[in-house]
Amino acid sequence: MPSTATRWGVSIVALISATLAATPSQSVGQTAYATQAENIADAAYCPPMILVQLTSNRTGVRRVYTGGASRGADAPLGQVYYTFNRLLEDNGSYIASGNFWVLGLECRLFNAQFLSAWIEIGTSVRTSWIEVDGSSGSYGSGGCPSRDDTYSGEYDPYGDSGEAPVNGGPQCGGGGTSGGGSDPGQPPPAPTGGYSCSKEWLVIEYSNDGGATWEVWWQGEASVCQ
Amino acid sequence: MRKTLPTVWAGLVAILTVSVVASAQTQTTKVKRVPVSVVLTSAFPYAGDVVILRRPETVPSDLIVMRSNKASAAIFSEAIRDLIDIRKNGGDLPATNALLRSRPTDSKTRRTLFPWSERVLADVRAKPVETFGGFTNAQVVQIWLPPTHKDK
Repeated sequence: MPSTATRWGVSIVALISATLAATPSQSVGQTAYATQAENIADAAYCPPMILVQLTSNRTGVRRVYTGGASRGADAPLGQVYYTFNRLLEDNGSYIASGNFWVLGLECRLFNAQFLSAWIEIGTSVRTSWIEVDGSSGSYGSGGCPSRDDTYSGEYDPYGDSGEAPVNGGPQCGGGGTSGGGSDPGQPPPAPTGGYSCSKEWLVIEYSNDGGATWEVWWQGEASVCQ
Repeated sequence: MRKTLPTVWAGLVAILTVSVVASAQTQTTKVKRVPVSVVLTSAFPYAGDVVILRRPETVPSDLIVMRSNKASAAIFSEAIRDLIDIRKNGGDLPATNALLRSRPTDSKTRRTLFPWSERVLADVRAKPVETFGGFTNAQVVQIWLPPTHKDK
């Protein structure tokens, strides 16, 4: 875990923003990760919005993560929490919870089964992440093997429905320290039935001008089981 | 008594095993898949050989568009994987229009083909040529992929 924090964390700057897309104005320079799950503590001092700017030592890619941190019952801190999850997942590792520091004050991030996050990559694309239970999707980055398995020779691509394990099935049991639900960012466990999993760095680009120019929309380490 | 204990234990293990297997077999649910149009066109207007288009206003919302004379099971399989990742990141159904491609992987990192990709490509090639989704000289089939449940 320290190595993960070290690799990704040295360039973390947490920035407060009044609005989602506001320009960061203050830097803190604190870096911290917790490796244990914690229930939410009093986060009255936590800001309504944060921007987290990260630079990967490995790739040199700078990313700006934005998350809400208001304190309503609709689980806002989870947004920030998942932002950190996402960060670590991109590097091939994952922790179930983390703390961040804003203006020297610790804001604890809680574990929740239902999380969402706003993530900004660059300035043009903003996407919403809604994590249900981590059980769906047997492919791509994270997730658990499903019986609706696209790598199976028996998969019918013309069928409009398939069969998947309820709650991810036994192989998707909640791992790590989340304490509720499964870990969406964990690499898929080695599935039964002759599958193996590997990782690959994936870069997906987007174009706003009909393909003349392209910018990175998302990149990350994708776990692929086949 | 000592002789019967192993038998009792073996029986218990067998019962537990059957229960676990039965439990695993019943813990499944039907899931509605998400469609995608697979398009081959000789009038491919982009650089490269394949792009993914997301169009919220159409059904299916996603299109994998390939250059006819370059389409292969490998390219198609990569595009499917990319679409799955895109759906995991951006939702099964797109909120906005998007044109996406992935940086080509080299032969070292190229992954296994979907076993059915060649068959689907053959099916596309057998379709009549039409204009579809703004693409002329297009051949189209619709396939379905498992949901990622990352809806917006």
